[in-house]
Order: sequence, then C-alpha cells, then structure tokens
Amino acid sequence: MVHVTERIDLPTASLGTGRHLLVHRFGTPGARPKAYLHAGLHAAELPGIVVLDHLLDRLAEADAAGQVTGEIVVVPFANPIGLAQQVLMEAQGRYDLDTNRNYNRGFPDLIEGVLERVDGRLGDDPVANVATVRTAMADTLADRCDAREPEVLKAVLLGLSLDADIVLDLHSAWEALLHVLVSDSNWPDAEDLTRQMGAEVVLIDRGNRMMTFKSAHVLVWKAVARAWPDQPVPPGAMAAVVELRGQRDVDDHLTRPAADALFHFLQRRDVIAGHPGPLPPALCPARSNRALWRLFGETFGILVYHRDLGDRVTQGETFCHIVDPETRRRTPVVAPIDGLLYARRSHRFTRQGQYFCAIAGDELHEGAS
Amino acid sequence: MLASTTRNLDSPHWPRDKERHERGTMPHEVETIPLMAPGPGTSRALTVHRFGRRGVGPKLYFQAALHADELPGTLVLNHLIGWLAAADARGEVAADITVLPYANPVGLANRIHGYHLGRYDLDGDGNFNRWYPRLSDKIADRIGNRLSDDAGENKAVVMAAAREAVADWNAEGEANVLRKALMALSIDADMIFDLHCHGAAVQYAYFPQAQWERYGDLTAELGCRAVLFFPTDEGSTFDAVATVLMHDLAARFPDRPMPVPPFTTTLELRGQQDVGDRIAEGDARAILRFLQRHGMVAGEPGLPHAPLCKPTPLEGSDTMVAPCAGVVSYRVDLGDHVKAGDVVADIVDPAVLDFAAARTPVATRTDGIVYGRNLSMLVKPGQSFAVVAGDHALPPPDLPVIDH
Repeated sequence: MVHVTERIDLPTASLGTGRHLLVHRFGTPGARPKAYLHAGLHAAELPGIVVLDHLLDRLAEADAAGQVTGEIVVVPFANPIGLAQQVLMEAQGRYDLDTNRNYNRGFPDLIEGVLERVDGRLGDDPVANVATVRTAMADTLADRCDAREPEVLKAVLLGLSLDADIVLDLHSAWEALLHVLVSDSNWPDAEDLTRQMGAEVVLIDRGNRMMTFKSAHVLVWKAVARAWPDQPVPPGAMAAVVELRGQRDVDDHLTRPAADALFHFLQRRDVIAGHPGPLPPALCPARSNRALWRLFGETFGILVYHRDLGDRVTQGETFCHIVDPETRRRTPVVAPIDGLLYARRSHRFTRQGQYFCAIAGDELHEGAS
Repeated sequence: MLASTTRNLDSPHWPRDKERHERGTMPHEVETIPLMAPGPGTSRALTVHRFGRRGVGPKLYFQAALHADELPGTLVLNHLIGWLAAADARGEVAADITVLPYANPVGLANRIHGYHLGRYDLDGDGNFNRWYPRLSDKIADRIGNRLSDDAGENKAVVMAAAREAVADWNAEGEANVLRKALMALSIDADMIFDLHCHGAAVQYAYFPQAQWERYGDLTAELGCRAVLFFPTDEGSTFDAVATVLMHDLAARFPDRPMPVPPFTTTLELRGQQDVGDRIAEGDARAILRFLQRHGMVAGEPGLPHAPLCKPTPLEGSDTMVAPCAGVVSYRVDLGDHVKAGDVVADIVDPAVLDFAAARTPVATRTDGIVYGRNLSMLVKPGQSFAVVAGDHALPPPDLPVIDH
C-alpha cells in the first residue's frame, strides 16, 4: 500500500474562508492494529506537529518498503481553526475565540448511544465484542448533528480515530518535562509507550467527563465494561496524551528523537514490521493524577522562581515568590508536597486564582512499582 | 485646474455582440482571488464578479462590507450582480464593472464569544478602512519621464505604474494582504463605490465635492438625508486611495495633462441592522438607475429623484464624544434636526441617586440633522456616539475622535 493523503474539507463557517484537514494514510485500510496520531489539537502546542512531520518521512519510507503491516492514520495538524487564531500577535490555540470553549473538551459523548446499541449484542468473544462496540460508536457518531465549526471538527477527528487500536494525542504544556497522560483502563498496557518516549512523568487518570479527545476514546469502553461485567469487553483503544515538553520545544534535536521513539513504539505494537530495539527503562514510576498538584496564584504579581523546571521540591519549601510591584510585598509560594516541578505557564505574571505551575507529587498509582 | 481625460465617462461604449464573440470573451466572469492563508488548513479568498469587457468603457468598482460587520451593502450588491449578469448577457453593459459582494473575508471571520466584530483586524493591523499605503512617490518614480502631452497616453502610463507599484508592495499580515488585493482591483478604476453603514443611521454618503454636479444624483436616487463632502487629497481610507494618488501625481507633474481623480464615494446604507432584501432591493435599484442614467447600463431609469438634502462639509459634522462612562439616553431621534446647544443625549451613571447628578448632558455645536448613532448604548470616556451634519466647518471636538 502506498502512502496516500486525503483532504477533508470542513463545511464553510465564514464567507470567504475555507478550512480543511490533511490526513495521511499508510498500510492497508482495515488492517490491524490500526494506529491514529494527531497533533496540535491545542493549536499553539506545536512540538507534536513537528514530531509528526519527522514521523511522516519514516512512515512513507516504511510503507514504500511494504513494512507497514497494520494501518496508520496521521493528522499532522488537527486544528486549523485554532492555528488561524491570532490576537494582537499572540497565538490563541487553546480556546475557540467564538464559542469560548477549550478545543480539547466537549468531544462527542457516545456513551449513552453505544450502551443502547450494544444491549443484547455482546457475547463471550472479546474480539467480537470490540467490533460490536466500534460499530455502535460509529453509528452513534453518525447520528449526531452539530453545525458549529469546532464541534464539526471534533466529530471529524473522532470519526477518523474511533476504530483505532492505538490513539495518540500529541500535546505540549507551556513549558514542561515530557510527560504522558493515560487512563487507568489503559495502564499498564501503555507502559511501553511511556518508556519508549522517555516520559519523565506519567499520570494515570480515570477519564474526564468533560470529554477530552482521550476520554472520548476511553470512557465508552469503561462504561460498556461496567454495564456488562459478565461479558469480556477489553478497552478497544489504547489512548494516550503525549505532552511533548513545552510549546517552544519544536527544535529538531528534540522532535526527531521523539518521532523515532513513536516509530519504534509502532514497531513494538506490530503496526510496522522490524525490530524496535530494546525497550528503554522507565525514567519514573506511574503516578496517580491525584498526585498532581496544580498551583494557583494567591495574589497577583510577577512569578519569580527559585527552582527550575525538572527540579525536585520538598514540602514546605519556598520555591517561588509572587512579587507585587505596588506593595512591594513578596508572597512566598510553598511546595504543598514533595515532588517534581514538571510544568509551568510560560508567562510570568499571575492573577489571583490563576494556574501557574504544577508539581508531580510522589503518591504513586496503585500497584505501580 | 486639472486637465481632463480624453475619455468621456458619460458616453456609452456599447460592446458589439459580434466583437464580443470574435474576442471569445464571456460576458460575466467570476474570479476567486486567494488571500493570505493564516495557517495550515485555512484558506481565504475574495469572490470577484466582472461584467462588461475589460478596458472597454469606464471602469467601475463596487465593494461591500470592508468593515465586515456592515452588511447592508452585501445584499444590495447581491441584487445588483443578478441584474448586471442579465444585462451583460444581453450585451447591455457599457462599462468594465467589478463587484465584490463581500470585500473582507478576514473580518467576516472575526468572531469572539459569540459576537461578530468586523471593523478592526484582530491581529493588530488596525481599522480595515484605514492604513492604505500612499504609494504616490513610488508610482511617480516608476512613471519617470514617460509622460507626454497626450492625456490619454498619460493615463495609461499612470495606471500601469500604479498597478505595478501595488503589486510591488510587500504587504505583511492578513489585513495588509487584503488591503493590497483590494487596491490591486480598484487602483485604476474611474468610479469607486464603497458600501458601508453606520451603527444606526439615516441613509447618507461621503461624496467628492468635485463630482457633485456630475454624479450627485446618486445620493438623490438613494434617498440620502445627509451628504458629506470629504477631502479627496488626504487620508488613508479606501475611498481616498486612488484620489490622493491622482492629486499627488498632478502636483508632482504640473506640466503634463494628468488623469483626474476618480469618482469615489462611500455609501453609508443606514445602520448595521438595516439588512434585508426589501430594503436592499430599493438601494440596488437606485444604483442601477444611476448606472442607466449615466449610460453604463442600458435601460430607462425614469425621472430623477428629488434630493432630500443639501450636501454639507465633513468638517461641519459634529461628533458627540462621551466625557465619562455610562449609559446613553438620547433626547432626540435619528433624523431629527437640532440646533447648536441642543442636548443630544445624557450619559447616565445609573448608580448615582440624584437624578440630575446622574446625567451628563452632551450638546451639539451645530445646527443640523442627527444622521448617525452607535448601536451600543454603553459608552466609555472619549467614545464617539452620535453625529450631526451641519453646514459650516467646526473646529475639532475637545475630545479627539480616534478610530485607528
């Protein structure tokens, strides 16, 4: 199968403006396993776009050599709407300016429709059950109706990915260590991904009912398994968010190795033939996302850090101050736990109550070693 | 006194069907002009309708919704292109007519929190109807010593240089790329019609005084209740681009017969909410009658309409500026005639208990018609909110009116 590209035009939402997605397909349609990767859903999170640009070279080469044994779908820029949003020279890719909504929330919630459709159709064969649920997901999605541009985009992205065995959503933080978010139903299945990517933080969550892209792939399976505990219904998709450091970490020396790691991961998962080499050791234990501490400004002011990204902090340590230039008071920011300073907003001004950094505490995911 | 061009705009140049067929030109063409793509997966384009024959007869240029939130003109031009296409198919269009039913795809996409904002570029490149570059010097340099004593030849030289200079402008950013595209389509036009509207307003127009005798009937056809003579030799608005250029070139080459500045008008088709086929059809018919009366489209326009107002100078227009924040309460309606010293509106701070103290009255400095008001009744200090057309020039208001 030769690499093909497909252009998907979105319906016109504004006179004189056109939008489209570009979809790259490798391998044989319908072959398994199927992997789906996209980047830039939060459109200012650029590293994944460059990582996929590198990966496309390797995939095209492998496909031409007949080495893509499964099927691979790549959407290198998942959010043309967000990529076109620029306000007074600042890119605004996280929220839709018009509908005021986070692009990574509000993906179609297929749960109710799927539960209705699979009722009475599940049996003892897990493979058949997975196929039944996937069909129900596609049918439920097809029944939905929404004309708003960002919602149409979300439906298209979910439609391209909902029958994939592997779903990777490439993001980044403002500034961060490389970290991976996985739901509990996909852990420890995803451990090879986190080790191959060199994740320095791995956070295990239970899925988000606000329907992030990942959760749209995870919660359906959990709901079906919960509703029919006596039927074998494994998660049909291993879905993960790979946070490729910070928004500015797009340089080739970072993104090319990340693309290589994804390629090796796809080899290990038998999507691509060939030996992936030894699996690198884990750089960290998996943490429960309850160990994630997000810090919010106690007051407004300029954030002056005393610790760098990647430093460990100890509980009670003042690792940052908030400087108020009016009162000249320095408000200490104290680490609430022992942990790793792994993510920060890059703008160094905070308002009261605004998120500005995150610490990965040392509480481990249940069962993690 | 500027020398006249050799072409008489009022004399019809009916293209003969035979000639049209021999040349193989289609009567009505639709062209798509791509604009700057702001990112992967997004494309923007202008849709341009052309009627008549390129270069045959006067060149007319119509555009609507340059301020993308001013929509009345889009429907007016939609009516007009239907009639022009039919007339063109019958060989009845004697001008080279370009029509952009919407001139600003960038602004049309400016949606924030469920509201559409189309006056300013969101990325910081200003009011879409300002900041058109003054390319006069570059154009003059291109012209060099190629002018003669033949006005017709000079016009061809000037227009070619103007088109080249526009093409050569290194426009940066979406708004400037749009400005460049609109200039490229219109810089060599003989007549330019820029269809705008006010927040809420009577029908009115910005009109070049030098063209009043010849073309002032357009404002009567449209039922304008105010006509503002604006200076055509200064400014960076779209309607001034081509006229400023010709003034500059005439000054630069005083010894040569130069093209006269084109006729340019900005038609203010009432208010932002005065949008609909019924009202648009009437305005479109008015424009069609004007084109017929001036020999650019065949057909009998009927008797001219009587003017509803006398023109007044733009410098006589009094702009009411709020001195404080508050809610506007008007004492007069749109279209009312007021006297100098009359209070047009009170700016109300509704949290002030004393009724009179809660109100800051704003009086006009001129006798005239209240021809426009803002759509929003919330004002901030320094914000203009109403305009009165008076017939004598006023000094600038104490508080500056800034609309960059």
